[in-house]
Parts: sequence; C-alpha cells; structure tokens
Amino acid sequence: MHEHNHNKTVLNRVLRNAIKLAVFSGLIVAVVASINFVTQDRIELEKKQASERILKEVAGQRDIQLTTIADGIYVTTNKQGHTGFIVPAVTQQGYNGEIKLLVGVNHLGKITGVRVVEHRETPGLGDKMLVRVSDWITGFNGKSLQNPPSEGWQVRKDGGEFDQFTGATITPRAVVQAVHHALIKLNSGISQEHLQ
Amino acid sequence: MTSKQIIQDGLWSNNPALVQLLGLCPLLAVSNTVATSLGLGLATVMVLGASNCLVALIRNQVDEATRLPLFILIIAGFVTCVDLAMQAWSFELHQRISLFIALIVTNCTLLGRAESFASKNPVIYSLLDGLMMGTGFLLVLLAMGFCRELLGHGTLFSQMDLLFGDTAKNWTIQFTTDGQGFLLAVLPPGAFMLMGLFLALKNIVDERLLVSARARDIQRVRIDLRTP
Repeated sequence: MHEHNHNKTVLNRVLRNAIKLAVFSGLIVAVVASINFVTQDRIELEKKQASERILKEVAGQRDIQLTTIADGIYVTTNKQGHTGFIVPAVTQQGYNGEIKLLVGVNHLGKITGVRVVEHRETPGLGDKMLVRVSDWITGFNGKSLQNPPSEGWQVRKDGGEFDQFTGATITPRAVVQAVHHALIKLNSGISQEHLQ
Repeated sequence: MTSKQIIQDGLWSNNPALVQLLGLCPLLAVSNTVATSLGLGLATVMVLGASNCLVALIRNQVDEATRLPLFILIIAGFVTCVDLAMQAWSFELHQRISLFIALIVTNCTLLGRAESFASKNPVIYSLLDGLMMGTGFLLVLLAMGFCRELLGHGTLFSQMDLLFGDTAKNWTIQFTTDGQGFLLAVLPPGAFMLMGLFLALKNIVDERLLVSARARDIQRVRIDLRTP
C-alpha cells in the first residue's frame, strides 16, 4: 500500500514537471515566433538588398537587367543593350575554408567588378580582399583574359601582376587564381552560346 | 546581498571574464575591433539581463530535475530573439558576428548566473546581477578590442557604422598611414596573450588595494591605541 502511494507521488511529480516544461516551452516558442513575425519582412528585405547591391557592384552599373541562367550565372543587360555576365567563383586555396566570389564581365570580356560573397579568412589579414577594408579587389577592374596574359594572372611574389597583402600571400593568391579560372571557364563555355 | 555588492561583483571582484574565466571563446574570437566587441558585448548584456529576470520570475515554480533544460530554453529563446532583431536592424554587423551571437547560448556566464544567482534571488536583484555581469564582460571585451585594434590595425573605432549607421562612418581614428599593424595582436594567440596580461594587471591592482587597505587598518589600530 505504501509502495503504491509512493509510486503515485513520483508519477504525479513527473507529470507536473512535464506539464510545466511543456507550458514554458510553448511560451518561449510563442515569444520567438512573434519576434520572427515582426522581423521577417525586414530581414528578407535586407537580404535581398544585400545581394542586389553586390550584383550591381560586380556589374559596375546601377541600371542593369539581370537574368539567371544555369548555376548561379547571371546575364546582365545594360542600358546600351550590351550583354555581360556575372559568374560565381569558389576556391579552397585560401587560408581557411572556401572563399566565394562573384565576378562580373562586360561584353568586351573585361572585368567590371569582383566581390567576396563568403569567406572565413583571418580578420585584419586576409580580409583586405573585402571592399570595405581595402580597395585591393578593385584592381581586377578592366582586366581580361588577354590583359594580362596567362602568366600575369598571379600575385607579384609569384611573378604576376597582382599585389599580395603584407603578411598574407595565400588569400590573394587564391583569389587571383579563382578569378582567372572563372574567366577561362566563361570564355570556353557559356559565353559562346549566349552571345550569339 | 546588497546592490552595491552585486555591482562590485559583476564589474570587478567576480568579473565573468577576468575572475570566473567564462565565455573566453567569444571573448578571444570577437575582440578584433572596438565595433565588433561592442556589438557582441551589448547583445550579451541584453540576453543576460533578460534571462536572469525570467529565471528569477519562475524560480519558485521550477523543480530540481527540470531547471537546467528550462534555463537553457530561456537563454536560447532570448538569443534567438536578439539574433533576429540584429538581422533586421543591424544586418551587416550580424553578417560579421552571427556565429558568435548564436554561441551566446553556450557562454557559460549565462547559465552560470541563472543557476547560481537568479534561481535564488528576487527579480530586481537578478536583473541587476545580469546587467552588471554582462557589463563586466562587455568592458573586458571593449578593452581587448581597443588594444587589439590599436596594435593590430593601427586604427580605433573603425566600422562603427555597422552599429550606429552612416553618421559613424567618420569616427575612425587612423594612427598608421598604411593601415598596417602588429600582426600578432590580430591573431587569436595574440588575443590569448593580451588576456593573460589583463589577468596579471587585475591581480596587481587587487594586491595594491589589499596592501593599502591593510595599511589603513594598521593606522586605525594605532589611533585606537593612542586614545585609551
């Protein structure tokens, strides 16, 4: 009889705790859900603006029309009716993880802009490739597959035309290579089909 | 426990970073510049104050067995809210420190204060404790950010516009012309060493305080002896 009562009180306590935990969980979820409801539109807008800002920076022009073709590649059409491309480039040759880039190319095959979309390089060192930290990445503007020729697509330390950062060669080397590869890929593949 | 004691504990004598040595991961990883330090610090103060408050509110309702999951649930809930709010109103800063915002949940300072203070004290004291512990953490973060930005980048208050908008764009003070600094200060080992220096400095100050307090006591005894 005593044993039975004991079991019953344990069961009661477990039940009470479970209910309390469920109620509190429900409350917390409700709070998070309402904050999410209040902020979701703004977050969506900020994300959209951020990606549009990058695309326009890379295309080098504000007034462009963007059309997506395969694999995150965009075809850009400016006011004069010229067609260019924005191609993604990824490299694993950086100091830490992947560096994701966007490379914009105009109808003459010249680079209109390069921006880093995602990276995990050392802050204060590898992040000089970010446009808000230094203007290094604007050094790609106007370059193309012919200018400089293939052997020039390297950092100065390796005999190329592009500056490295003081104290950091790995990151710029990776970025220069990735941009070069993106140009080669664009030249050999999609551009022929779409420029016709 | 008086409010004066709570304030003193949080800011100095039981400082979460310098004495309890908690939350070191975000402390070392995010203290690159004053701006990022301030961002993470403020987020921590907010979450810590709010979580302490709520834990104190429900402290009489919770059972031994379920209190830890509940505390974590509360902390995680608040962190998610701060994360969302930051994404909405401070998007670019969020882009840079989002990983560490999420990691506030695992900052042991928060669960530690919930368990050792807020679960035993009334709401108002718990709120004060949360805010003071948070501020203590924020101050250490700021000091680290200040030293590391000055040494490593040769600037101060750069990119404060991430927090305060466009008006803050010209707050940057540039000390070197080429934007180059002492590399070690930027890297995590440098942060670790700086942290060690801060700990040593605090110990020295504490020792001095103790010595002068003793000297005062001795003087008082002397005066007592002279007046029979």
